[in-house]
Amino acid sequence: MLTCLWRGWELYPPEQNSVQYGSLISFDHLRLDKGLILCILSMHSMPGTVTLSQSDKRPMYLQIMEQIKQRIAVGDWVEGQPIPSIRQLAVDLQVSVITVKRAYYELEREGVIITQHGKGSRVSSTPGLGARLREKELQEHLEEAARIAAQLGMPSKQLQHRLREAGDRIEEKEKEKELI
Amino acid sequence: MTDTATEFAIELRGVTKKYRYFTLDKIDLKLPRGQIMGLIGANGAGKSTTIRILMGLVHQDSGQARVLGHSMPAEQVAAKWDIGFASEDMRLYDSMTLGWHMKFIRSIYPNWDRAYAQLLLKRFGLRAEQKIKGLSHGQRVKSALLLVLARKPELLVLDEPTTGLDPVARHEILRELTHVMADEGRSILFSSHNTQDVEQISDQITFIDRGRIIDSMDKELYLDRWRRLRLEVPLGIELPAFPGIIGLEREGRLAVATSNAFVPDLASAYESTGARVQRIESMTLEEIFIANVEHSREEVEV
Repeated sequence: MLTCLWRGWELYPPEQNSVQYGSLISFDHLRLDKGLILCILSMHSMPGTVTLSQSDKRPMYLQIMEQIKQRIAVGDWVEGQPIPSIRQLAVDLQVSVITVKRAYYELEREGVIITQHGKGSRVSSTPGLGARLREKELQEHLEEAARIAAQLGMPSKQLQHRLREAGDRIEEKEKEKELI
Repeated sequence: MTDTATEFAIELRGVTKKYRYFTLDKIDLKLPRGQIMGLIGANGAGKSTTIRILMGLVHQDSGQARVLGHSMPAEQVAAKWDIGFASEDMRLYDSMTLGWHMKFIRSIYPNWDRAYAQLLLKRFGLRAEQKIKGLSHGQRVKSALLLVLARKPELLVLDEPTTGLDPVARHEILRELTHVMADEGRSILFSSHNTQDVEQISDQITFIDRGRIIDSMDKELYLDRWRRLRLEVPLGIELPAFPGIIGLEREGRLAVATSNAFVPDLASAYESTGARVQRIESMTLEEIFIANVEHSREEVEV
């Protein structure tokens, strides 16, 4: 949990990153009561490191999908946890609502999140969702490697050998780190 | 003052305006409430004329224009309470300060939000006590925008709000526009030839070229229809003209096909000719803009 003190609009920090900034917007109505507002934002309402890259050639909705999946895969977002509303995330990322809507729609179709009308969205409660997403990521990388190998005309035996070599190299590096 | 029952913030039907060397030809356009529309077109395509008609500044020869439920230009006085309009040729008083302008606008519009205006001053890095004549181009644009934003209008109509700005100022403005959209009752129409801005923040995209609308639709649907297919074609095989392909360039064994109505079957169709599909790439709005303008001009000329 993150606790922040915020005095009306005055202390609204202009250089603060867009994420926290956007999260505060939803507390807008509170501003009317007092100058001093104690607001408690739960971490989950903040997209944190979800950022879009302009040099990434993939469509923005795919980038959003992938980053949400990563947050689940690494365990930052857990099963059943509420996630930012479509409009909120759009404001935070400074992209159009329709782009985030598309990302959420596709994520829902893949069973990663659940959106209930009027209740917002949350991470799907499927047990082992994070592990499943990691597994899927691995699968995609393996298929891509197999595809490139086929293009190069590489026999599958050789591909297997290369994969084993890559594994050995990573293991060696880990050992070196331990020695240091 | 406004008819909230109307579904569209902006609705143009068959709007035509003839000038000696330019005709805005039967423009149809709809902007649903709560959405941002980016109007894209080359210089002289008709973006500004369309915007002027919306604002009642130019009267159309024929066709209907409704803005926030008001018929334009007849009901423009009523409509303008809830529209914030900014364009490059709007002049502020050089010898007056920004603060003077803020007070002036505040005295006219009851919705003026003082706290928000102060916040915008800070976020835009502007000072109320500064005279307009000492401001840079970017500061003037931001000042004009501040004056319309702080009124919290239901509809913002912005003619080229980011043209000629440095990246930081552009970013500040795009950020403010997306914040406006946190309120789902408000709508924005902005014109730009910066396709990156439009791609980033628009819900709806409208392409204008030579006075006509080439396309107007949901941005995600629109981007999804365009693809570039990279093909490897054995020599001696001719590629047929499949429907949905608007451009095909070939050099030796490599070919690039551009589609504006992509379906996965299109890739299978190429495979069945003996070609191999190396890659299917999505396109940026910039690439689509150029392909689209070239294609539609070819069609007109044929």
